[in-house]
Amino acid sequence: MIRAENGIIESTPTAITRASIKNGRAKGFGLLQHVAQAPPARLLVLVLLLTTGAVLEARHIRSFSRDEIWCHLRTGTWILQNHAIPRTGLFSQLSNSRWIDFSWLYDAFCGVVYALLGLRAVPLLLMMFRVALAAVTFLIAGGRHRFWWAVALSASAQFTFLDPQPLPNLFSICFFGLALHWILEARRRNDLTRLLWLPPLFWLWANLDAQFVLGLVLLSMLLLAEITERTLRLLGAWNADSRRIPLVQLVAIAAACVVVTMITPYSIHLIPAALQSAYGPTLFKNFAFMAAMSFRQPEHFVLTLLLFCACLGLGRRRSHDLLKILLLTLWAVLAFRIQRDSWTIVLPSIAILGEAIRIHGDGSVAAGQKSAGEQCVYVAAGVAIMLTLSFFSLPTNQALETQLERVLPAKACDYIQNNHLAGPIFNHYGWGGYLMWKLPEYPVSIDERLDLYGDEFSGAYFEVVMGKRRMETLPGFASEQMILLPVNLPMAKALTTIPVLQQQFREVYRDKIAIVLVRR
Amino acid sequence: MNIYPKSGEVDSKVVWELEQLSHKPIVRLAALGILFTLFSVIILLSKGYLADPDIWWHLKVGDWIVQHRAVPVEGILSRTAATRPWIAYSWGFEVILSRVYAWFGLMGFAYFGILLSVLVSIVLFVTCFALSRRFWRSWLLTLLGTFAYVYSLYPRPVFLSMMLFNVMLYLLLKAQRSGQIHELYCFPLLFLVWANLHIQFIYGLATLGLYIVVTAAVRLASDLSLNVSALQASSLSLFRLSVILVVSAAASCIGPYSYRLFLVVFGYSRAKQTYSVIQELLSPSFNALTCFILLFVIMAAFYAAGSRKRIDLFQLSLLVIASLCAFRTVRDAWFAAIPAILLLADVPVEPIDQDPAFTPWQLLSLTGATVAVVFLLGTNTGFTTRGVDYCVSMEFPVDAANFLRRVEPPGPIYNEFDWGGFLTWYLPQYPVSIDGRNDLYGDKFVADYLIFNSGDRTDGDPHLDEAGIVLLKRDASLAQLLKHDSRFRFVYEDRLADIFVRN
Repeated sequence: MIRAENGIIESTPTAITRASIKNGRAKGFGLLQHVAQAPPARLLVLVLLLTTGAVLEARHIRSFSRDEIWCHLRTGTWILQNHAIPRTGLFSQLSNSRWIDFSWLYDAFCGVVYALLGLRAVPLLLMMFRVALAAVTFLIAGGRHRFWWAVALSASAQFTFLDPQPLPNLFSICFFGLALHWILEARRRNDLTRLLWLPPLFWLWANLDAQFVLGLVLLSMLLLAEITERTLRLLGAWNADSRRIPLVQLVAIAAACVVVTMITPYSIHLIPAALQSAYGPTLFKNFAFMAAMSFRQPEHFVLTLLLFCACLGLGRRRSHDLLKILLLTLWAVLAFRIQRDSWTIVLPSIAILGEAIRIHGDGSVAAGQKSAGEQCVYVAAGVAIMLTLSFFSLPTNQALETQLERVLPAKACDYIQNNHLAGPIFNHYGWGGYLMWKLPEYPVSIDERLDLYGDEFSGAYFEVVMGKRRMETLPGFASEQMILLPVNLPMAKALTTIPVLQQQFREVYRDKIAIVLVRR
Repeated sequence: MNIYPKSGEVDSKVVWELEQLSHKPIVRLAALGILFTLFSVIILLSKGYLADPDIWWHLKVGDWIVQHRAVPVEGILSRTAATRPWIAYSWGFEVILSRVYAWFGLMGFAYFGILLSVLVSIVLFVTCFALSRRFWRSWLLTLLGTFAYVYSLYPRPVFLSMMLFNVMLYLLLKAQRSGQIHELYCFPLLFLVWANLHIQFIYGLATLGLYIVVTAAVRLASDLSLNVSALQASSLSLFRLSVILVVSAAASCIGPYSYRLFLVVFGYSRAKQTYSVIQELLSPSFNALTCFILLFVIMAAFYAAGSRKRIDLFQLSLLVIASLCAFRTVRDAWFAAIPAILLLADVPVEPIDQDPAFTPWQLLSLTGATVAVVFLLGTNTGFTTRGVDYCVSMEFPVDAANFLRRVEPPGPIYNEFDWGGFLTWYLPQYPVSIDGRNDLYGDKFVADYLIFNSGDRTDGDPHLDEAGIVLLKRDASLAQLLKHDSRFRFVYEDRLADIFVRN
């Protein structure tokens, strides 16, 4: 310290520097804080958060990178034409086999949108899904109560769904998020009102995607947590903060949710068939998306960090909330075992993390903000404008078809059609859906509907493709007259280079994408 | 009068009696004995000590070092990489392994693997107990930790890294807790030993570096008047810590390879393709319970880190970095599991609540009893000279190699990646085309080799083109293709292997 002559104690030079730094920083932060709190800034950021994915999709169309969409489009068109629900294997060589179309409602919707907009319907569907995903993740991460954290968590969550496709499983992500949000809110407020939305949600979900069974698992967790906490409390072994959701009503709602999932065209057969369809052994054996995350992509690390941060947040609150512990542990098991289902841990993680931050922080909505309803109107208007602009920036249907020819066997299909090649066709698994759409007069030997084909048939198909078995040794494929395969598939190479196989099939068409062979 | 006690009274009495029982030394000794017997029996039954494809080239390199009284500097035992520079960074371990085999044969070799695995668990228990002073917590954490990382690998030099990292981290946490930096003065010696046993001493140095960086960052933030009240500050001297780090890094250069060990680390850090094809370098498959135990232990550690009054930024950063490493590569599961377990153990306990340590006599009797039980169990589960031989011949192409020894067709040999290590030891007259030394062959070589080996392409493989003998797994795609290849003649098959010789 330096004592001045007039007796006033001056700050040391270091202290002055520190004070001015602190002052400057405070001013800088204050300005930032002011901007961040301003309602227009928040509305703008929210609109950007909700529409960035959609805008990116409009610019770099990714919605055709998976084959399944074609199957949904074709089935939807069939539903609209026939005013009926499919019950057998449409457009397949197993056309007499029983088949459940878990996503018949979505297929019908796809059919309608396609009839109205043509191929542009596909990217538009994905754009709408992306907006919905952003909205749900923002909502469960805390929404307007912890705005900036919710934005950050929602963006992180969306990053982990890096390559979504316009497929019904996105309904599962959205509906799972909504159910989770309502369940956590109900427990937080000791109020069952929100849970009354669950039965209609489950009814819709059961008609849209087979993974509605995950929602039922979520409900089971809630019941398990409630019953266990009550039991432990009765035994005096549970002294965590007490919640009193009326158990009888809760059980009634859960039962209603189960019952409504049977109000579908397929009634009680739906749940066991859905489990088989989503978790059948053939999937685990043959598909990389059923394996664990490879941790070679950044989104896998982000997902893991979200989970760990949620654990940290739970620890920070010293929470013994059994439901949250169950959510993190059990969904982590599924998410780390099957990368397709990795989203199941992302949503609980951001919900728990958002709540931890909200309770730890001020949790306030910025002063001077407009009412929630008014904000929703502004945001909805902003999103609608952005979506409309993005939609009109999409390529024309003609241009989209040209783009597709670069990645799908469109020209090979034209060749088959123009030359009236004789079927039945042996096709690549990854093109089954496209062939259903492009060549409906040639029933496919296999496509993504593995529940239709069964484990034995599908397993045999993959053994043939991998060169472990010969096609003629399997009754299902012995009569195939024509083969359509990707040009770089080892089986295609074997058919065109190994003399024994060359004697059986003759190459009639080849381009950069596909090769067509016919039986000699 | 009701002569029956109320249910609550019975419960509390049972709990009290159980608690009293759990405090008895004999019960604790028995629990510890059961734990280590369990670990030994699991390794005995899994035969992991002999199933490791890489342990054989470690053994052969150890023999080579003893024989030549020098360390290798190029690719010995290999045909395709004979002139490439190579560093036997586990030379210390390899010499020990070689002597164990020379003195005790294959049985001693197998016992060494079991001992190494159990030692990892013992070190974990001892450090957990030293940190927590609670017996049952340490017991449980050792059980979880062992399942989380010990069984994901076969006994090999990395087990020494596990032990030494465990000790290092324990000393660091203890010094942080006590504020006594002199407890870290042994680090240079530790790193001197570690660097001559295994390359992953670098993880230890990085951890110490992380501690220094985090401590410096927290102090800087505090100096800048930022709010760091929620963070735990270390009282250790930054200057002395930095000196210890520098001296430790210098000590790790004291060895036959001096600074060149760091070049190996640099080479590994640049490898990409091998991380997509080598099984142990892939991420955990989550097909086994051990992967989930690892995940849950890490999650619990994050919960524990958050629940502390003040967050220890070093522990948190280490957990984040280590867990991301562990999920990227299953081989590094230990790097995340050990900090997680020690963090869960690191809860200070009042002296009155501390559990007493065992006396030397108690430990001696525990060791004797455990060894006797393991030996008895071992002899009844095929752990005999004959059983061990049989185990090796079930895993590796012993019969096929015997055929080649007998017939002696002209080489060179083209072999399976997984069998290269075994062949360096069992069939040294034919230097291998590849083995598990990824750092010797290089990233691209290994990736290309595996592509050809998988049968995706047979034309244009230079190593196959010049091979006189091809030794492949019986179910390998390449073996199926070579049966139709006019360049080779199919001369031998058994349960494991096919042999082709050039026409």
